[in-house]
Amino acid sequence: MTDKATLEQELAYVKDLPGFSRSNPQYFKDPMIDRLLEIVMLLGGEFWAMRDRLMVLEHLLATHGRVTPDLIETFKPDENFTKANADLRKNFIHQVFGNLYPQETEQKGNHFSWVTDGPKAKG
Amino acid sequence: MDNFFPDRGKVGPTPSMTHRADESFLNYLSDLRAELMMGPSKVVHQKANAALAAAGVKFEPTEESVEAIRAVVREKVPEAGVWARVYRSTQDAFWNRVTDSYDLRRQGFLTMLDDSDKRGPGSVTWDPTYQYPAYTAVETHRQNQGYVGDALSGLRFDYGTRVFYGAAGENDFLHKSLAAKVSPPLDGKITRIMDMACSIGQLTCELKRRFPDAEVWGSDISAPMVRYAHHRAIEQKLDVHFIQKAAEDLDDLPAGHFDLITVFILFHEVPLPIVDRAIANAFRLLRPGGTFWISDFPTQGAEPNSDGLNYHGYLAAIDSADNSEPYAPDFVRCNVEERLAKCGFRLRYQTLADINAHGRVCDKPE
Repeated sequence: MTDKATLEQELAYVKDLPGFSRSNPQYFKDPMIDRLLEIVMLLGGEFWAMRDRLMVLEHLLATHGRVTPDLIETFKPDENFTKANADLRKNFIHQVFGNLYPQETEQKGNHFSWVTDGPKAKG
Repeated sequence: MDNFFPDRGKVGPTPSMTHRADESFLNYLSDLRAELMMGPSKVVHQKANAALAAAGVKFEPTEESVEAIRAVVREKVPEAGVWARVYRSTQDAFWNRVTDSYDLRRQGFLTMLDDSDKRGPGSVTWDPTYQYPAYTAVETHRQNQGYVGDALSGLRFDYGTRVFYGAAGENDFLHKSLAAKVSPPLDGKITRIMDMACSIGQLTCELKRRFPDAEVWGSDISAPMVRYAHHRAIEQKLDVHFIQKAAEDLDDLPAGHFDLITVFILFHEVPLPIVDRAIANAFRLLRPGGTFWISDFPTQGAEPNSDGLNYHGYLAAIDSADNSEPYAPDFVRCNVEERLAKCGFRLRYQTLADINAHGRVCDKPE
């Protein structure tokens, strides 16, 4: 038997592992809560995208006196705009979703520090 | 790029989304995950694991075990349900948005990759008739069509992992910091470097920057990944060579050819028989005194506990089953240090600090 054939035989088990195929998990007693929570999160993103566009539109009107779809699409924000935009976005998320967890679920530490500790976190 | 859409340039080294709205949506998802998923993860996992212990339910990598864990959470720990739902839905949402946005300019990107195939500096070698082994048919991390299934898989991976890593993903910060941690051979001689399973070549390029006089190679099983890696290296004017080769299938490369081989987070993404073959290949390809540098999950034997990445219990169940990480539990439960030693490597150093700093530095004896 070639090494390739041996390997195929050795790996026959993988198709049965959880996660090998797409799953459709349910995390709440009522599956409608799974769907609604997803819908709310996605709607939040679409709402934010519109709010962001409005910020760009107002900025362009204030600084250039005119606006076109291409000007909005190719707009390159400066540091001040980027920071104000990011602060507003984080605040929006906190206001909308801040009560999703029970109060005792404080952010005392996370298992994703390797993800979150980027250049900003390291100063 | 494409006449229908204005050129929005790049975000760092990564092509921008087609529309500003896509970029805004993805920035929102990144922050939403930080607020609702990463922040509360430790507390939520502790509660879920306590409930699982009280119910006598233990994670094993089977569908039945994972569903038993979901059932306990549905009944006892709704906040753990929130965490998992946020994780799953945002993961799907960002891959879908990245895929849809880039696909609007699909033809332009395909032409870009075709053009880059023929250009330098550096090179790319890939096989359009390559038959991928069945174990790669996983939509790893829920990336649409996985790492190998679409010609734009490399491009999608680039923007998608920016969202996943958040701040650490900006301007390849993570890979720059990894390259700085890579340990050279003890004699300091580096003529050739191989970055095994290099995906889009982020670490490969940073190794070239750190060791500019070395000949630097990146190998990956995925043609879309190495093609995009080569394009990305050209954009950075870096002379790096990419080849489409599976880590378990490097037989036609000459023995003793490399001084340093690196591998970053491959081992938990492939089945253990592939890990063993990759280790054996690294041993064969290194010259005596050469160094194998590995960064991946800590391995904890048959009883994973709360050390290291905490990849056990609730996190392991949800991440492996619902975030398409089917091979991670087996890897965490093995003892990779033993496997390295069995192959002949001498372990010089390891750190359990965390996943992306979990360097294992091994030397091939002289």
